[in-house]
Amino acid sequence: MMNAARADSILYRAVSRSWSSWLPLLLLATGLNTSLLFGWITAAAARGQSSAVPPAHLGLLFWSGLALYLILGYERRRCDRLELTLPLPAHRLWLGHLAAVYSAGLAFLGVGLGGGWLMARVAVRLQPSLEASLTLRRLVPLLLASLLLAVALFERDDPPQHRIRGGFAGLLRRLLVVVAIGAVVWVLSGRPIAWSLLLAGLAAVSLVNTYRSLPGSFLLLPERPVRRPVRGRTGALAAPSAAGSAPRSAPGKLRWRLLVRILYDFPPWGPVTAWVELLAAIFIGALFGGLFELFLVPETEGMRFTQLPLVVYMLVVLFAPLTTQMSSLDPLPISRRVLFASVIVPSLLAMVAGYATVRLIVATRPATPLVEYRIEEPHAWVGVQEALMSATRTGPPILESPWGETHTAWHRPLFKGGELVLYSPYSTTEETSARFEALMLSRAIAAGYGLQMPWEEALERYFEVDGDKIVGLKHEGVTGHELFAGVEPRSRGPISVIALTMAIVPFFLLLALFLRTFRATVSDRRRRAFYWSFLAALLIVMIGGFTFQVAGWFNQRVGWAILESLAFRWGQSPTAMVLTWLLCCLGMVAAYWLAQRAFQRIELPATPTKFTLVDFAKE
Amino acid sequence: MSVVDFHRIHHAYERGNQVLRDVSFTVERRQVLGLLGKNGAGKTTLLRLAMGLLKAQEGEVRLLGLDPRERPLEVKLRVGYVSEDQILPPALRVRQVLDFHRGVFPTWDEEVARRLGERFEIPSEAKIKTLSRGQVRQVALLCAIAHRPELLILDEPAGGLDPAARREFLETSIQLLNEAGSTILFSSHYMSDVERLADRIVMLHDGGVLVDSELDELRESYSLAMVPAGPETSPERLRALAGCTSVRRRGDSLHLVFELEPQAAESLLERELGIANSRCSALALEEMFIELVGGQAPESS
Repeated sequence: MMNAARADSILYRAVSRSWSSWLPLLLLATGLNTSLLFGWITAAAARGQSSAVPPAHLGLLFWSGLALYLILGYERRRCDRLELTLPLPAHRLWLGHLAAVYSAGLAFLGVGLGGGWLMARVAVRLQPSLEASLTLRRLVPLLLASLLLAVALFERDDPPQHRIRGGFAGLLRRLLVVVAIGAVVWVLSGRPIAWSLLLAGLAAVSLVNTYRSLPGSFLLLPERPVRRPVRGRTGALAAPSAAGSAPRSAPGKLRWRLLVRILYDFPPWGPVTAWVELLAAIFIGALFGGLFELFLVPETEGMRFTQLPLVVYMLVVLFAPLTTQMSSLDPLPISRRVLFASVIVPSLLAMVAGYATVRLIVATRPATPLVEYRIEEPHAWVGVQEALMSATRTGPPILESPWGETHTAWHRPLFKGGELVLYSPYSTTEETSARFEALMLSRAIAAGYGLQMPWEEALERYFEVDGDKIVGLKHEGVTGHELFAGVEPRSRGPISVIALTMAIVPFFLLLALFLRTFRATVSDRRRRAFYWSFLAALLIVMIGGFTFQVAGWFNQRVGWAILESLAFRWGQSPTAMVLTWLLCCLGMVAAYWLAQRAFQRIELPATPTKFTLVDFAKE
Repeated sequence: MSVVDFHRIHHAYERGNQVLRDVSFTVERRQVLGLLGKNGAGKTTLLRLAMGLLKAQEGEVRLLGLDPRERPLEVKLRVGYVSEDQILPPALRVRQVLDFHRGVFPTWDEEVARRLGERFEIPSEAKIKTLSRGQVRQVALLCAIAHRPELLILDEPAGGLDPAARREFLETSIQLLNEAGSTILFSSHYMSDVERLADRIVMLHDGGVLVDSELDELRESYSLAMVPAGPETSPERLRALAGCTSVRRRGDSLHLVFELEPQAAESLLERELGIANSRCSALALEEMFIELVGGQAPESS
């Protein structure tokens, strides 16, 4: 039985060791990320065919929160240097360390599950059919066992050492373990609890094995030093010149490759940092371009716009760590404009490349029909994309036919109780007559495809009519695509560049604001507080957008739809199209200039500020 | 024209943490000026202001006649800078670091780089992160000197180095730059280094310039007197004596620093206080630093 002293020691370690000052930030990030991804997965399921969230998706989602902890937050020190000098057995120190790292992992799991539970409540309220697939407690044993297995595998590394291996090799090893267990979670999610017990059993065996292999006392350094190949040990610096060979660069000619290496090559990922930055930027650009919608839920293309705060957030996150390397360059005669471009342009171009690639793929695929006619029980209707809709400040308008038949247009308010509404000028209802539906369809066809088709022709060509009601379609399929095969829809207008501008301009403005904190009069702590506050604010804006939408207070989808409809109209006039592009480009250049101006005035601290979790993970 | 000109500099950090108050002094061409002061006296702030890495909240900084904030590139092209906390890119090899600096400075002198390389014996293929602290500092010095700067700014450049490495490091800089007629502005905690290398010192204390003098002149003009503590020798009375710059209690006696030669100080004590046979002696720089800078704190606190 554990004696009191040991319990105290373990408790102390659990509280003090792994709970370093920045761990709460990592927890916050985990909670927010899990909630966001959870919302995404459930929204995709709710809009999809099955109305069920696959357990593997949920398992992987929660594992991603734990992965963040295991890779960035895992305490690698089994004991500190002071404890090494005290008469404490390694076994006891290790048990304390084990309790600390596992309890920290439990906190991450708890935060992730808590966020997930909240989002599940929201999702079930919106789509009750999801409830059966959102029973999170079934995943808990699997996640607990997986966490234990990960800890057990991490701890197998160098048991005699007081610290688990770091550096690139250590990071790679941890990544492999996390990815491998992630795959196991994917496979075993939703399986019987016996599988979780098996994982826990494997972890226990591994932990016992490690415990038995512990030395009486941990080592500060490896028993045998690591051998490094040493080249050019003495005088080698002078050798090239002495031998008469030319230097590799001419004086005064900036070596861009080295500049990029200096800026992007730092621990813990070293030269991989540049790739991590670029891939992350490409991914976030692709996400904003509609990656998820493209491959997962094609009919929810507009969802990509809701990622706007996330894009701004990610661009800031990608920028901040690069400031750490600037201190070494600051005393050199390198223009601040060059430095700014070096840290901004690659990530930005990568983001735009990701965005443009997805938009291009979307453009080459069969376009989502602008107009369609759906027959689904209990009735049929004319449906149009948001681009063909309109906005009005005077409440929903009344649609009227030449023969006097009327009905109130389908509409959605931007704000709850507000007068500004988005409406479909082509909507029909269960009560509308076949003639009226054909009239609306012919108007929609004219607006979306530029084809003039009298309503009588539309009625004759496409519909089977019984009395005054449509009972079926004369052609196979129900989508407008099949109805108007071979006819190209009108251009959606410059919506892509508008959306991009709406991400890039706020990013530069926020950056200009953030750079104002780089003053000698602003402490590191305040600078960090400012940075984390506005990142949190961006995430809150994003989550708030969803929450307000669910509560019906503010419909961001309507906001974007209004913009899409405006862009569609501008797209029909070459002058308006060119003007929009011009204004967007000017806006982006002006915002860049503002941020650059702020950058030129910064005073870099002598010791770089640790902004990100990656910075904290450096040792 | 002065190479460096600080004019009425005021600088504060957060929450009224005033580091520099009305600091003014100049550094002339070919001078080697040692900047002294306790930790937090503002030496690093002053040197960072000189480099344009910080902006003076009040006052004016001129380097080589230019404002380092307004024309940073022109200034930095003509200045070499090494600081204790300077970070060389850890992932680069020494050769690449030199390549990078060569690319940045049009006046890079391959011959100087070669000579220093031979002298320091730094392995060119080694990564910065594998070098010892002293070696990293040597690489930084090489980078700062090889473009033949008109002004070299060293901020605690030898901090943390052993005496041999420190001497090698500083003497190399001085020797090479003296040959080229450069000016050197350096800060250090090591009085022996300052005494050996500087021809002028500026001592910062309480945000201001406490001493600004040629080193030789300084040695001759300051003296330390030790008098027994008693009712006749209250610190207030002693401080009121002409030329007395500091009074500090040491056990049963008081240490007085005079801006006078030792004999003049003895005469003054005898004349004003009737203290005969007081022990007055010339001050070594380290003692002067302790008496002037360290001596005021206990009295004021």
